[in-house]
Amino acid sequence: MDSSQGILQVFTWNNHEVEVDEDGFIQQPDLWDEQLALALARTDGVIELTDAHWKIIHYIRSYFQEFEIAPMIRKLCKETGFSLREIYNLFPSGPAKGACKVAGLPKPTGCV
Amino acid sequence: MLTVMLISVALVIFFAGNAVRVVKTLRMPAHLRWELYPIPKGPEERQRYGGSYFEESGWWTKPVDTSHKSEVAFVLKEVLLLRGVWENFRALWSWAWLLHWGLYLYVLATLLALGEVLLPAGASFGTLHAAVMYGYRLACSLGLAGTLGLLVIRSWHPRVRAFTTRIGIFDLLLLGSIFATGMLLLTAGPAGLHSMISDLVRLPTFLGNHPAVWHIHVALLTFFLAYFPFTHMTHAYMKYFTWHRVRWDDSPIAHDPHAAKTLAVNLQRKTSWAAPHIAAGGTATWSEVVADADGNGAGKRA
Amino acid sequence: MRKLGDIASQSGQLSQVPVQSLMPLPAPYDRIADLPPRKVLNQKVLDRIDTSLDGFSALGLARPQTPEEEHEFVKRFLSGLEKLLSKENNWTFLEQLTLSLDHCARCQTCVEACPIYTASGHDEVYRPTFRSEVFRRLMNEYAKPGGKALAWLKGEHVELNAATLGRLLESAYRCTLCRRCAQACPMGVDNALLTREIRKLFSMEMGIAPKEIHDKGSMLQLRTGSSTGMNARAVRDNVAFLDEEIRDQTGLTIETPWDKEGADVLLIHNAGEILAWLENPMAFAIILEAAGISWTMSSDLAGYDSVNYGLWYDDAQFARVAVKQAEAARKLKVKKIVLGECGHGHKASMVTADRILTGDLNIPRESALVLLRDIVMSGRLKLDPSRNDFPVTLHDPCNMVRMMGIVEPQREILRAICPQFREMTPHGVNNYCCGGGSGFAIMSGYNFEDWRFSVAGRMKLKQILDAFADCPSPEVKKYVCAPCSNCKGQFRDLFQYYGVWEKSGILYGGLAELIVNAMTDLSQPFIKWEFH
Repeated sequence: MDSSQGILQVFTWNNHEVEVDEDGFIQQPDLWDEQLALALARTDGVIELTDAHWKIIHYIRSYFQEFEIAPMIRKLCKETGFSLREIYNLFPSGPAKGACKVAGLPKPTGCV
Repeated sequence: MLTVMLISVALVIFFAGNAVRVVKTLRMPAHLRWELYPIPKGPEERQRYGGSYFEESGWWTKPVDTSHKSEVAFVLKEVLLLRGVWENFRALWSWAWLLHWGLYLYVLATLLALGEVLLPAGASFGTLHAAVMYGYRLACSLGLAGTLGLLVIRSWHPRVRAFTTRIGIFDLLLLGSIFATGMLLLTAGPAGLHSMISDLVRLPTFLGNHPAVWHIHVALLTFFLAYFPFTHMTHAYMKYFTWHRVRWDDSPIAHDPHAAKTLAVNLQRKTSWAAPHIAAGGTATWSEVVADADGNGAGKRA
Repeated sequence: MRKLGDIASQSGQLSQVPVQSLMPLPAPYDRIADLPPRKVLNQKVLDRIDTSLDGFSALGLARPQTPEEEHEFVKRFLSGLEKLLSKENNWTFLEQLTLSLDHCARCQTCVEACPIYTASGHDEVYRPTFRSEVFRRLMNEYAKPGGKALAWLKGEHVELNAATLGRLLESAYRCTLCRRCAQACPMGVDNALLTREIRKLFSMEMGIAPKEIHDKGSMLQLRTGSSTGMNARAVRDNVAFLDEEIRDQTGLTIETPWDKEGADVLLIHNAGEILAWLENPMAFAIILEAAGISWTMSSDLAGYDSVNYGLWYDDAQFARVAVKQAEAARKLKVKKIVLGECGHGHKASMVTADRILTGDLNIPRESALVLLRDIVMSGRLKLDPSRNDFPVTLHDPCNMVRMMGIVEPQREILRAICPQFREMTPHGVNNYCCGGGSGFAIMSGYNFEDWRFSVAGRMKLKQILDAFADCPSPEVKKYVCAPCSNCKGQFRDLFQYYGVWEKSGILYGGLAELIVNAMTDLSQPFIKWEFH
């Protein structure tokens, strides 16, 4: 009974299963692919992923692969050319809880 | 004779019990700092708003203030006026204040009565005797009023009611009956309360005739003495530790060359905390646990 | 809840925490219908986790499923209780613990000092003495010789089962460790210390702690260097971006110095600032450079993140992180460590770690507020207070102020550079916690946030609104100066929840930003009036 982990739930999509935390962040970033991204986006009410979505997702992902952490929001805006408002329009839950989740990152940690 | 023996035993328990408590606390390991402001130390203008030496740049190079003047002033306000209760729980304050002053005066009158017995009779003897008389009378009146008030508050006031247990009521009843029998003795003539101490000290007359209430009063006192060290009432002196040694202990290692030695002892203590990230198993020392910073469990390697 | 023993009841929730019982907030925050609805946990989650204290869950503790599991759970708790009373396992806090266990008069003098208890409308489960008294009775009854008989005699028996423990654990995460109650106690008893000892027992013996604080907090920090997960490469990349931002925003060319041996000052920020409140580390770089301070940052493990979450729940984790941070400073041979705007980082490093850091690890540590005060007062910067001519109030982070006595430096600065500075009531060492203390600001699992905003942060919100009662219109932009990351995290989320920016035009931010905003060298205002 190791309860320090919190309780994980299983997220099912196209007959696949992945573990997610209570906010819907997947637990193993390696299991991510573009189809999972779409399935995760739909949990936030984003029905289709446009090029704009993908630009953000791919930037977040490649930053994560290099630095093992999500890019800071201001950097994300600067590098992708989207304003924070535009990111909120694309991902209604915002860059951290929306875009990073769809990009298959773990939930941000620490005093942020 | 039995009474004398019981009183002696009670006195031994009283002094030994309190001494054990103090010595046990004194011998506890040097603990980590956990101070809380305002602390009555340092320059007065800083004390006014609760500031500390941390407000100065290069504080570790500045001299330490070693004066205890403000600490003493703080303690006096707390002891004599129950400042904390006054500021935070006014409805309780008057009764708590009465009870505490009842106790202080009872102890004071008893000390004076001892003086009356032990000192040779002199010119001021009459004054001393009167002081004892008034002291006891005031002590018992204040104490009894305080206990009765507290019993009412404890039983009915919504703020404390749910936290009043059998033992809390028992303690108040015990104190209340000491004050009540004391009052009765005061009105019982020459064999009254003021002569109790002399009777106790001059054993020959001690075995003389006494009313039942005298015996009850002495029995209650005897029990109280033996019971006191095992109750939270020891706060009377343990505040030295809670205040001076915890809340106000802001002394940094930078100012204390001896601290490193006690610290070394602590870090060599063996620990047995069992959570996976420690897993000390009773074999790993604290310094090993601290060095095992990846949190894989020091005990697993030891 | 009717009586203390209800903590052991096998069914039901001790309190529903009804919204209409909570302390009223000033208009326009008084309309219950306007508040976001409480998050409803789905039945599958509710079936598995313990929400029997108040319907909220900070930890998502799984209920034991079988009598064997329950027995094991209780057994491990009991072994932890005993360890708390031993010199070997708890030399760190044994004296404080026994004093607070043994000398409570149950007088309840302390309870009105608690912002959570009072703001909840005096909900009995949040009474600061409730969890301490349960803990005290469990200790007396189950960890001391003759305890069972004495508990019966004294009328202080408490049933010990999984329900008791589930509720006790959750209740240890309904206190921000602000220690206002300890200030009020005439005996010197400290309920917050007892709360922390309960948390410690669960963490150090049973491995149970909120994941944000432990797995993804102190453990992550020891592994990567920061509880944000930033490793040395990531932090340098991010700070390089801040340098770039400074150039873009102000035209100043600053290169943050890294790992500069022999610098006067090793500046350690809360690494969360670098990611989420970058204006603050940017402002620090601008001020330190303008004042000509010899400073550096460290890219060593834990040398660039001042957080030490162990302060809130675990002595082993606490000591591990404290030592790592000191080692980073020792390696660079700096004259002193200066702690950035992080309250618990201040207390952890300057106070609580002091008797852990031996010999040459005990490097002098100073508050950034003091350094900033010295710089501002020295006249080395050209400052124009009229640039800060908007209403400003000051939040006192509990760890820096009540627990360290750093009260005036920040005020001296504000009085000098903010013409419309006003105090909250009460303030200084008597301040109210932001409601995010002891880790709450970073805890958001399950429905904990609803509790954090509606109960824990309630008193502070009211205090802030009251401080600006003379200018409530959202047209008048106002600033809450909160020199602490944790407090800022709480204000961000709290203000968002209540729509404070939209309804009242109140922004929050650090102290260094206000100083830079007043610098005449800058052509543009440094503070951007956008909510973030």
